[in-house]
Amino acid sequence: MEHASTANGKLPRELLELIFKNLCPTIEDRDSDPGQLDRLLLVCRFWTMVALDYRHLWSSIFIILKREPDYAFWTSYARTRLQRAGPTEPLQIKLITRGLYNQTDQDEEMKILLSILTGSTGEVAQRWRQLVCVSTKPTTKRIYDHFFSFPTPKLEILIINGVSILQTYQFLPDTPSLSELRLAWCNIPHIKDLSSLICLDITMSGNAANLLEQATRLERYKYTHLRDWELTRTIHLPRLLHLEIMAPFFSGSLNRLTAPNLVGLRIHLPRSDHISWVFNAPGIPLRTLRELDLYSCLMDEQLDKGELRKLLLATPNLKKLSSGQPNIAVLLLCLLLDMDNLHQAAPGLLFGCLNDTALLGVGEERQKTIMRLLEIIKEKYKHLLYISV
Amino acid sequence: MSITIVTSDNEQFCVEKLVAQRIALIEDMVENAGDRPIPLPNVTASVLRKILEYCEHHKNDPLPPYDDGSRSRTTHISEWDQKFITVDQEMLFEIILAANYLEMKPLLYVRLNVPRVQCLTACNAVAGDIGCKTVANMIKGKSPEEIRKLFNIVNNFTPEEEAQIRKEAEWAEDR
Repeated sequence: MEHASTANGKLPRELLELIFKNLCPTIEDRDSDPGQLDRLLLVCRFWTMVALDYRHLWSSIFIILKREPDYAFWTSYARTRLQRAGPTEPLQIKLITRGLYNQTDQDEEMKILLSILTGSTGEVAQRWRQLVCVSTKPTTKRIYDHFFSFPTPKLEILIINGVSILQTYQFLPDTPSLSELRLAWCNIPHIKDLSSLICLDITMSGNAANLLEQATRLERYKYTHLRDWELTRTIHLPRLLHLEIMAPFFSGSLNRLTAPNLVGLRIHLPRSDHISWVFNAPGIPLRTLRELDLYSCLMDEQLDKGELRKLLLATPNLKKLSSGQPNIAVLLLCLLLDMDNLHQAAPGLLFGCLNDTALLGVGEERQKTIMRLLEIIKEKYKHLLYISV
Repeated sequence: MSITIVTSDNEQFCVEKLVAQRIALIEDMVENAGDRPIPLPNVTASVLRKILEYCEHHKNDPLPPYDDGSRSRTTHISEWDQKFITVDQEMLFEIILAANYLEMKPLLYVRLNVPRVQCLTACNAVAGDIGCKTVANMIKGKSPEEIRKLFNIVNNFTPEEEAQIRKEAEWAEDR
């Protein structure tokens, strides 16, 4: 095969499209090169033709506005992308702003850019499939209120960080396809339709209960906050598989949650009484849990060994047990040494403490592995350990 | 159970059926061929050897889900695949073309019951995936001139066309 002809014209269009598709940035990418795809147009006629005909290639609009943003560039970039993507292609929008909007003279330019991304009557917002909006310097200006006011029936993934919207404003009025929602450091109004939500991740934002009440199809839920995780009403989440509560909580809140199919639990245990709260929560099926992660901070109290023992006895089917707190990890390992018959199904329990993980195995091997892991953790984190075992 | 495949340069390969079934085109032909050898007039022995090496390694992998384009893609390639695809450029393109012709990942459309036209897109997406990812990784960060040089592509724009495209995409070159 001749290289020149292969690359220039004989590589079938669909394969060249696949190659181009692999150049499309994804919302997970930390950095993307905004000129990458446009440079393909300058290679040869065939590449230009294939690239321009392949509308999906232009459907990712990733904008990063730094301290002195070049609005002319980004406005032109967004318009060109939308034009090439055509009128119907679903869109992935990523808008990152860093340290803006203290300068009033930039407001108008920013509004123009936001208006391009929504369309003047929301016709572009109708095509959003994934939206990431991150503002690393939260502003009190109401720059995003209008941006989030349109129906977004195709929106599947929404990630918002550092955005504040007036509570009285209409916020994403139509989101029937939304399956993943991640909010961090946000103050936003209520989202009306969460009926398709599968994954919810909230960090330092809003109220836990409001969102949970509607998200009846939820499979993964993570809540990280300094404030209490609080449920005031009973919530039944039959599909919930993974629950992470990285915040203080009251026993009443946990009692109000029913998740009969839960397999993974990560929970903040600041005091020993929290263990019994978990133990006594009627809607948390400890017996069928496969993964348990006991989260704790160094400022938290030392946990009671007897309470932890009860918790381990209540979770006989665990496949994975971990704690990022070395003191708890040591306590758990010592308990496991004493509890020979627990979690003994082959290949045994996977135990983790920060970056150290080990498959404990069964029988004699298990004892040896636990001893070795104890030595490693004690040596590695001796400056953090305040318990003597 | 094994089947015999004959390549364009007349070499015969005796292949375990489980391995051969990773290749859609062959799976389609097996039923009609009976015990007769299956001809692959568009694939040479050296390329088929590589393709079969891939199929052998992945014979027990679950089939990937149908990709309708909504899933976010990654250009990550596993360590084994990376080693497998470390070939000269000629072989790389031969593998991509052959994987496309052979419609690899055969059972996808049967299992998912999606229309064949969609399936073929999905099959191609998987079959040529490593090759296409590799080529994409080679393109990343390169200027049009560097890409042409890398793949020995002739610049067939007229000066006017090139000037026009450059004008429209001048910002892209500076970024």
